[in-house]
Amino acid sequence: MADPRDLQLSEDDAKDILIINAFTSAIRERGIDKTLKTDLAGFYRAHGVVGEPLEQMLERGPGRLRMYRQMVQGRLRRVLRELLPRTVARLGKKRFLADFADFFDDAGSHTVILRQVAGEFSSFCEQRWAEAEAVPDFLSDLASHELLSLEVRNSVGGREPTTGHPLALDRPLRFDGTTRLRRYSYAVHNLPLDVDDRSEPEATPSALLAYRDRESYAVRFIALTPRATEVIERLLAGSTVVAALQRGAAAAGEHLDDEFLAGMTHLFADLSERGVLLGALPDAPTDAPTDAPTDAPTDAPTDAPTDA
Amino acid sequence: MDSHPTGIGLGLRSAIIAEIDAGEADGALAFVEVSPENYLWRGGIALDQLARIRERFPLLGHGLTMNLGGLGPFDDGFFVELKGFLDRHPTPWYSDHLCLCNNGAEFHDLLPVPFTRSTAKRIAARIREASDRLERPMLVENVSYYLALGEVEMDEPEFIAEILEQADCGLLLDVNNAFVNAQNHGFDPYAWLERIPLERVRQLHVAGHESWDEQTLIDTHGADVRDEVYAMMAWVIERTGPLPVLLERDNHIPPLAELLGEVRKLDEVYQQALGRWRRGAGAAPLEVLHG
Repeated sequence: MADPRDLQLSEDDAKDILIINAFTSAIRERGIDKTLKTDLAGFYRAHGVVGEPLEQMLERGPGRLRMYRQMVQGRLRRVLRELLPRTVARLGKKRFLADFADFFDDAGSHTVILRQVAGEFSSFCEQRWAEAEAVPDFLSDLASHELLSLEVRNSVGGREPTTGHPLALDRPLRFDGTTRLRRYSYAVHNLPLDVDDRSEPEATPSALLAYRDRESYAVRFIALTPRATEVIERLLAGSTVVAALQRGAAAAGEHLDDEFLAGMTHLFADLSERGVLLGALPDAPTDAPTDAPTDAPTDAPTDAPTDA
Repeated sequence: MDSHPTGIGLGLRSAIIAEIDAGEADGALAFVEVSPENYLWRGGIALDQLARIRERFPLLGHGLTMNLGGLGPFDDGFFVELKGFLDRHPTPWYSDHLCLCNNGAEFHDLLPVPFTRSTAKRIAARIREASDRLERPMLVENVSYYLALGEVEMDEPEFIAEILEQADCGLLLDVNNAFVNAQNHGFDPYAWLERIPLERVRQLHVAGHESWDEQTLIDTHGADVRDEVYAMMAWVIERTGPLPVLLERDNHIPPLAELLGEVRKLDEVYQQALGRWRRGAGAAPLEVLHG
């Protein structure tokens, strides 16, 4: 919000800024609605609006001011319900209204792209959801999963050409530009899509590889085994194949044996067929270090990747 | 100003983009209007559809978030992205609203500004800056405002005319906004139109509106265009001659076939008005048009 004291302004500019600040505060401030109804003059004076501008604003009353507040906030809440439907539904109306009011007042949106407000809201709420007993532990994972779908669907990139180079141990790999890997503490990707569903996900660490289908534009999810997760995470970060395999196996607590290599070969072939893996990069090996998490595996390897 | 389309166009919205991409509006639209904010920092199907659609229709670019009425500096990153988009999707001009969108945070809405000389001066300077940054002419659109802010030094037509003059830019005249404001603030919309510098009008918007309460109309773009708004559009066209006229529909969007029916109805009124302009008849009696 502009502070007229910080700017070299004429008296008229300063008056404009005061009324604009008051107006936008009326839209944004948490819990101000009652004050607008009962003490409009006090509200404006508290924002420095005095004299003729105050008189004119008082003549116009609080009705349309409150209408703007409802309009702006209502529109953003509708967008969040649309983009995070299951997360918002599981929060419940009262909790969502409270979270939104705090988000809008304390942080607000700082993107001009409406679809990005969902990520802003989710980031703002992550810590408070983790600390709130009434909010299910899996809710942040569910929000992340809904955002993942949105992110991949709209991601810049995708459909990059294959490199023309076969996979090679001493090379990093190129992935389709829409590819993302996410780890969850709960298997939220297995929850029904129905917004009214209230079943709970398994408390199973999960990892999903998501990408946008080159032909249909559909967002596809592949559930990865723990060892595949460790390897793919490193490859996405730019490691060579050999480094990703060695460090991935170690991180997964497995031996880099024939069975491990066969599983990875199968995975690479599947990803290539899907257009996710586009071949080896021709550049000199970078062997970029990764700071990927190295949690011990908590679940037995699953079978071949499947669309979620 | 570069050559530009005239006649009736539609805004490209996600609800109808697939059908337009499939050719279902071919021959029925003079242009499509695109809001770049729906495509910036974005890939995927929408961009590919737009690339095909721009091969078949002229594009007009219309923004929602430039914050011309704002107090802080423009967002450099946004302008770089926007200019890149407009370079890839050329349009004869770029338009945005005479409003505030950001004051420390984004409101994702079109908020009113004080009708003061200092605000007009500030907005005019920002329009010139935006035009320089984008390297193309700017148009500005009059908005629906539900509350006048602070001490009203000028009325809206004077405010708009002052900005257009100082910024030396064109006007995207939204006749539905003028109608809604007239109803909500109790003035004659034709008296309002008569004070608008029509020689600066480069494009029109028409839309439907709904009621917020018994006293207040709200510009939702969520209903059919009312006859009074058709008449205002005709009043302008018979004074300006051919212009691009956008039918705006952002909520309760009906099937494309139904929207194209409204486009045809709008075009009939537009062609009749154009006929009067061509015959040089000048302004028809207002009571006839009002009816």
